[in-house]
Amino acid sequence: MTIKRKTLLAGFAAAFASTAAVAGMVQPAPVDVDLTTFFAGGDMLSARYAPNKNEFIGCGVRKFDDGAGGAIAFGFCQAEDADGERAFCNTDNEDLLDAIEASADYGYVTFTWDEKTGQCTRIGFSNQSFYVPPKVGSNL
Amino acid sequence: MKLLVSLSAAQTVLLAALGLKVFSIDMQIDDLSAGATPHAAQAERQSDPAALSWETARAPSVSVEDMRLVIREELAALDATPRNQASTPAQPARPQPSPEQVKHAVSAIDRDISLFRSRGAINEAEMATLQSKIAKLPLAERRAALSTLTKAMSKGEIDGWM
Repeated sequence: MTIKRKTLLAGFAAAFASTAAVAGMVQPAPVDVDLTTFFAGGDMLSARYAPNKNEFIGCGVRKFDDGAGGAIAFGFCQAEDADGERAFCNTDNEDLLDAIEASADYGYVTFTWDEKTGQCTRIGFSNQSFYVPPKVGSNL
Repeated sequence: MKLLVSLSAAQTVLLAALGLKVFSIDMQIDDLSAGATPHAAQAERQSDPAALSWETARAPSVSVEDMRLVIREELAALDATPRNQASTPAQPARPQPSPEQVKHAVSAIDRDISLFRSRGAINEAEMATLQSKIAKLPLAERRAALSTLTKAMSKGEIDGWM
Protein backbone atom coordinates (compact mmCIF):
# COMPACT_ATOMS: atom_id res chain seq x y z
CA MET A 1 0.00 0.00 0.00
CA THR A 2 1.48 3.35 -1.00
CA ILE A 3 1.97 6.16 1.49
CA LYS A 4 -0.57 8.26 -0.41
CA ARG A 5 -3.26 5.57 -0.07
CA LYS A 6 -2.47 5.07 3.67
CA THR A 7 -2.81 8.79 4.28
CA LEU A 8 -6.14 8.81 2.49
CA LEU A 9 -7.48 5.88 4.57
CA ALA A 10 -6.25 7.48 7.79
CA GLY A 11 -8.08 10.66 6.81
CA PHE A 12 -11.32 8.79 6.23
CA ALA A 13 -10.97 6.93 9.54
CA ALA A 14 -10.37 10.18 11.40
CA ALA A 15 -13.37 11.76 9.75
CA PHE A 16 -15.69 8.88 10.75
CA ALA A 17 -14.24 8.76 14.25
CA SER A 18 -14.93 12.44 14.76
CA THR A 19 -18.59 12.18 13.65
CA ALA A 20 -19.11 9.24 15.99
CA ALA A 21 -17.58 11.06 18.92
CA VAL A 22 -19.39 14.37 18.40
CA ALA A 23 -23.18 13.93 18.54
CA GLY A 24 -24.36 17.06 20.28
CA MET A 25 -24.88 17.76 23.93
CA VAL A 26 -26.36 14.97 26.03
CA GLN A 27 -27.96 15.68 29.38
CA PRO A 28 -29.35 12.57 31.01
CA ALA A 29 -31.63 13.29 33.98
CA PRO A 30 -32.25 10.17 36.03
CA VAL A 31 -35.56 10.17 37.89
CA ASP A 32 -35.46 11.79 41.28
CA VAL A 33 -38.36 11.62 43.73
CA ASP A 34 -38.03 13.82 46.78
CA LEU A 35 -40.64 13.03 49.42
CA THR A 36 -39.62 15.96 51.64
CA THR A 37 -40.09 18.70 49.04
CA PHE A 38 -42.76 16.73 47.13
CA PHE A 39 -40.88 17.00 43.87
CA ALA A 40 -40.29 14.50 41.10
CA GLY A 41 -38.35 14.94 37.89
CA GLY A 42 -36.40 13.09 35.26
CA ASP A 43 -36.28 12.43 31.56
CA MET A 44 -38.17 9.56 30.03
CA LEU A 45 -35.23 8.17 28.09
CA SER A 46 -32.98 7.92 31.14
CA ALA A 47 -35.80 6.27 33.08
CA ARG A 48 -36.53 3.78 30.30
CA TYR A 49 -32.88 2.69 29.98
CA ALA A 50 -31.91 3.07 33.64
CA PRO A 51 -29.69 0.29 35.01
CA ASN A 52 -32.40 -0.76 37.47
CA LYS A 53 -35.97 -2.06 37.40
CA ASN A 54 -37.47 0.82 39.36
CA GLU A 55 -37.22 4.04 37.43
CA PHE A 56 -40.13 5.44 35.53
CA ILE A 57 -41.75 8.83 35.09
CA GLY A 58 -44.68 10.22 33.11
CA CYS A 59 -48.08 11.84 33.10
CA GLY A 60 -51.36 10.87 31.53
CA VAL A 61 -54.98 11.90 31.08
CA ARG A 62 -58.10 9.81 31.51
CA LYS A 63 -61.37 10.94 29.92
CA PHE A 64 -64.79 9.47 30.50
CA ASP A 65 -68.02 10.10 28.62
CA ASP A 66 -70.27 12.12 30.92
CA GLY A 67 -73.47 11.01 29.16
CA ALA A 68 -74.28 14.59 28.14
CA GLY A 69 -72.04 15.06 25.12
CA GLY A 70 -68.99 16.01 27.16
CA ALA A 71 -66.32 14.27 29.13
CA ILE A 72 -65.06 14.07 32.65
CA ALA A 73 -61.29 14.27 32.65
CA PHE A 74 -58.55 13.96 35.18
CA GLY A 75 -54.85 13.73 34.79
CA PHE A 76 -52.07 12.21 36.80
CA CYS A 77 -48.31 12.10 37.05
CA GLN A 78 -46.28 9.28 38.50
CA ALA A 79 -42.63 8.53 39.06
CA GLU A 80 -40.29 6.22 40.88
CA ASP A 81 -36.57 6.72 41.30
CA ALA A 82 -33.72 4.25 41.55
CA ASP A 83 -34.16 4.05 45.33
CA GLY A 84 -37.77 2.96 44.98
CA GLU A 85 -39.28 6.24 46.16
CA ARG A 86 -42.61 6.76 44.46
CA ALA A 87 -44.73 9.79 43.73
CA PHE A 88 -48.25 10.06 42.38
CA CYS A 89 -50.47 13.09 41.92
CA ASN A 90 -53.75 13.80 40.18
CA THR A 91 -55.41 16.89 38.76
CA ASP A 92 -58.63 18.13 37.19
CA ASN A 93 -57.16 21.58 36.51
CA GLU A 94 -57.80 22.23 32.81
CA ASP A 95 -54.55 24.11 32.29
CA LEU A 96 -52.54 21.30 33.84
CA LEU A 97 -54.46 18.80 31.70
CA ASP A 98 -53.53 20.88 28.64
CA ALA A 99 -49.89 20.77 29.76
CA ILE A 100 -50.01 17.00 30.03
CA GLU A 101 -51.58 16.64 26.60
CA ALA A 102 -48.89 18.87 25.09
CA SER A 103 -46.08 16.60 26.22
CA ALA A 104 -43.82 14.89 23.69
CA ASP A 105 -41.61 11.83 23.49
CA TYR A 106 -38.24 11.79 25.18
CA GLY A 107 -38.90 14.91 27.24
CA TYR A 108 -37.98 15.84 30.74
CA VAL A 109 -40.93 15.57 33.13
CA THR A 110 -41.27 17.32 36.44
CA PHE A 111 -44.12 17.66 38.88
CA THR A 112 -44.84 18.66 42.43
CA TRP A 113 -47.82 17.83 44.58
CA ASP A 114 -49.72 18.72 47.69
CA GLU A 115 -49.03 16.12 50.33
CA LYS A 116 -52.44 16.55 51.99
CA THR A 117 -54.62 16.31 48.89
CA GLY A 118 -52.43 14.38 46.49
CA GLN A 119 -53.25 17.01 43.87
CA CYS A 120 -50.60 18.03 41.37
CA THR A 121 -49.48 21.60 42.01
CA ARG A 122 -47.06 21.92 39.09
CA ILE A 123 -46.51 19.90 35.94
CA GLY A 124 -43.66 20.65 33.56
CA PHE A 125 -42.32 19.23 30.35
CA SER A 126 -39.14 20.14 28.57
CA ASN A 127 -38.43 18.90 25.10
CA GLN A 128 -34.75 19.31 24.37
CA SER A 129 -32.34 17.79 21.88
CA PHE A 130 -30.16 16.53 24.70
CA TYR A 131 -32.94 14.19 25.88
CA VAL A 132 -33.40 12.57 22.47
CA PRO A 133 -31.83 9.12 22.19
CA PRO A 134 -28.88 8.55 19.89
CA LYS A 135 -29.48 7.02 16.47
CA VAL A 136 -33.16 7.99 16.21
CA GLY A 137 -32.24 9.43 12.85
CA SER A 138 -29.97 12.14 11.69
CA ASN A 139 -30.09 15.37 9.73
CA LEU A 140 -26.35 15.08 9.03
CA MET B 1 -112.84 84.21 -3.17
CA LYS B 2 -115.88 82.06 -3.95
CA LEU B 3 -113.75 80.08 -6.33
CA LEU B 4 -111.17 79.40 -3.66
CA VAL B 5 -113.83 78.27 -1.17
CA SER B 6 -115.37 75.89 -3.68
CA LEU B 7 -111.99 74.50 -4.66
CA SER B 8 -111.15 73.94 -0.99
CA ALA B 9 -114.48 72.15 -0.43
CA ALA B 10 -113.87 69.95 -3.46
CA GLN B 11 -110.38 69.11 -2.21
CA THR B 12 -111.79 68.14 1.21
CA VAL B 13 -114.38 65.87 -0.39
CA LEU B 14 -111.73 64.20 -2.55
CA LEU B 15 -109.43 63.71 0.44
CA ALA B 16 -112.29 62.13 2.39
CA ALA B 17 -113.02 59.79 -0.51
CA LEU B 18 -109.35 58.84 -0.75
CA GLY B 19 -109.21 58.16 3.00
CA LEU B 20 -112.25 55.90 2.78
CA LYS B 21 -110.71 53.96 -0.10
CA VAL B 22 -107.44 53.46 1.82
CA PHE B 23 -109.38 52.32 4.85
CA SER B 24 -111.31 49.83 2.68
CA ILE B 25 -108.04 48.43 1.23
CA ASP B 26 -106.58 48.09 4.73
CA MET B 27 -109.63 46.14 5.83
CA GLN B 28 -109.26 43.79 2.89
CA ILE B 29 -105.59 43.19 3.65
CA ASP B 30 -106.44 42.50 7.30
CA ASP B 31 -109.07 40.01 6.22
CA LEU B 32 -106.60 38.27 3.95
CA SER B 33 -103.89 37.98 6.60
CA ALA B 34 -106.37 36.88 9.29
CA GLY B 35 -107.58 34.09 7.06
CA ALA B 36 -111.14 35.02 6.32
CA THR B 37 -113.63 32.17 5.96
CA PRO B 38 -114.53 30.89 2.48
CA HIS B 39 -118.02 32.38 2.83
CA ALA B 40 -116.61 35.78 3.62
CA ALA B 41 -114.22 35.45 0.72
CA GLN B 42 -117.07 34.59 -1.58
CA ALA B 43 -119.10 37.53 -0.36
CA GLU B 44 -116.09 39.75 -0.78
CA ARG B 45 -115.58 38.57 -4.32
CA GLN B 46 -119.25 39.20 -5.15
CA SER B 47 -119.21 42.65 -3.62
CA ASP B 48 -116.05 43.60 -5.47
CA PRO B 49 -116.38 42.83 -9.17
CA ALA B 50 -113.09 44.58 -9.87
CA ALA B 51 -111.25 42.11 -7.66
CA LEU B 52 -113.00 39.23 -9.41
CA SER B 53 -112.06 40.50 -12.84
CA TRP B 54 -108.49 41.01 -11.66
CA GLU B 55 -108.35 37.43 -10.44
CA THR B 56 -109.72 35.92 -13.59
CA ALA B 57 -107.67 38.12 -15.85
CA ARG B 58 -104.26 37.78 -14.14
CA ALA B 59 -104.33 34.36 -12.50
CA PRO B 60 -107.03 32.16 -13.83
CA SER B 61 -105.55 28.98 -12.37
CA VAL B 62 -104.95 30.35 -8.86
CA SER B 63 -107.98 31.05 -6.73
CA VAL B 64 -108.13 33.59 -3.92
CA GLU B 65 -108.47 30.68 -1.54
CA ASP B 66 -105.18 29.28 -2.82
CA MET B 67 -103.53 32.62 -2.31
CA ARG B 68 -104.97 32.84 1.19
CA LEU B 69 -103.59 29.41 1.92
CA VAL B 70 -100.13 30.46 0.70
CA ILE B 71 -100.25 33.69 2.72
CA ARG B 72 -101.40 31.79 5.80
CA GLU B 73 -98.55 29.31 5.40
CA GLU B 74 -96.02 32.10 4.94
CA LEU B 75 -97.35 33.95 7.99
CA ALA B 76 -97.32 30.75 10.01
CA ALA B 77 -93.73 30.09 8.95
CA LEU B 78 -92.70 33.62 9.90
CA ASP B 79 -94.49 33.30 13.19
CA ALA B 80 -92.92 29.93 13.94
CA THR B 81 -89.32 30.88 13.08
CA PRO B 82 -88.38 32.69 16.33
CA ARG B 83 -90.04 29.95 18.37
CA ASN B 84 -88.03 27.32 16.51
CA GLN B 85 -84.82 29.22 17.13
CA ALA B 86 -85.63 29.62 20.78
CA SER B 87 -86.58 26.00 21.18
CA THR B 88 -83.34 24.58 19.68
CA PRO B 89 -82.78 21.42 21.66
CA ALA B 90 -80.18 22.11 24.35
CA GLN B 91 -77.44 19.71 25.37
CA PRO B 92 -78.89 17.09 27.63
CA ALA B 93 -78.03 17.80 31.20
CA ARG B 94 -75.37 15.66 32.76
CA PRO B 95 -77.18 13.00 34.77
CA GLN B 96 -76.85 13.86 38.43
CA PRO B 97 -76.84 10.97 40.89
CA SER B 98 -78.92 11.33 44.01
CA PRO B 99 -77.12 11.97 47.34
CA GLU B 100 -77.94 8.40 48.31
CA GLN B 101 -76.39 7.06 45.11
CA VAL B 102 -73.28 9.21 45.68
CA LYS B 103 -72.95 7.95 49.24
CA HIS B 104 -73.29 4.37 48.04
CA ALA B 105 -70.70 4.89 45.25
CA VAL B 106 -68.22 6.55 47.63
CA SER B 107 -68.54 3.62 50.05
CA ALA B 108 -67.96 1.13 47.25
CA ILE B 109 -64.84 2.98 46.07
CA ASP B 110 -63.51 3.21 49.63
CA ARG B 111 -64.00 -0.54 49.98
CA ASP B 112 -62.13 -1.14 46.70
CA ILE B 113 -59.20 1.03 47.77
CA SER B 114 -59.10 -0.72 51.16
CA LEU B 115 -59.04 -4.07 49.36
CA PHE B 116 -56.13 -3.01 47.14
CA ARG B 117 -54.37 -1.59 50.16
CA SER B 118 -54.71 -4.86 52.09
CA ARG B 119 -53.54 -6.79 49.04
CA GLY B 120 -50.73 -4.27 48.46
CA ALA B 121 -51.22 -4.05 44.72
CA ILE B 122 -53.57 -3.11 41.91
CA ASN B 123 -53.30 -4.30 38.32
CA GLU B 124 -54.05 -2.29 35.18
CA ALA B 125 -57.56 -3.64 34.65
CA GLU B 126 -58.49 -3.01 38.27
CA MET B 127 -57.09 0.50 38.03
CA ALA B 128 -59.15 1.19 34.89
CA THR B 129 -62.31 -0.05 36.61
CA LEU B 130 -61.60 1.96 39.72
CA GLN B 131 -60.94 5.13 37.71
CA SER B 132 -64.22 4.64 35.82
CA LYS B 133 -66.09 4.41 39.10
CA ILE B 134 -64.32 7.48 40.44
CA ALA B 135 -65.12 9.46 37.28
CA LYS B 136 -68.84 9.01 37.91
CA LEU B 137 -68.65 10.84 41.24
CA PRO B 138 -69.39 14.55 41.61
CA LEU B 139 -66.29 16.75 41.59
CA ALA B 140 -65.71 17.00 45.36
CA GLU B 141 -66.11 13.27 45.94
CA ARG B 142 -64.01 12.52 42.85
CA ARG B 143 -61.18 14.66 44.16
CA ALA B 144 -61.38 13.00 47.55
CA ALA B 145 -61.29 9.49 46.06
CA LEU B 146 -58.36 10.33 43.78
CA SER B 147 -56.58 11.90 46.74
CA THR B 148 -57.01 8.72 48.80
CA LEU B 149 -55.78 6.60 45.91
CA THR B 150 -52.73 8.69 44.99
CA LYS B 151 -51.65 9.06 48.61
CA ALA B 152 -51.91 5.30 49.16
CA MET B 153 -49.81 4.72 46.05
CA SER B 154 -47.24 7.37 46.98
CA LYS B 155 -46.82 5.74 50.39
CA GLY B 156 -46.24 2.39 48.73
CA GLU B 157 -49.38 0.91 50.29
CA ILE B 158 -50.64 0.05 46.81
CA ASP B 159 -48.18 -1.08 44.18
CA GLY B 160 -49.24 -0.22 40.66
CA TRP B 161 -49.60 2.52 38.07
CA MET B 162 -52.38 4.92 37.24
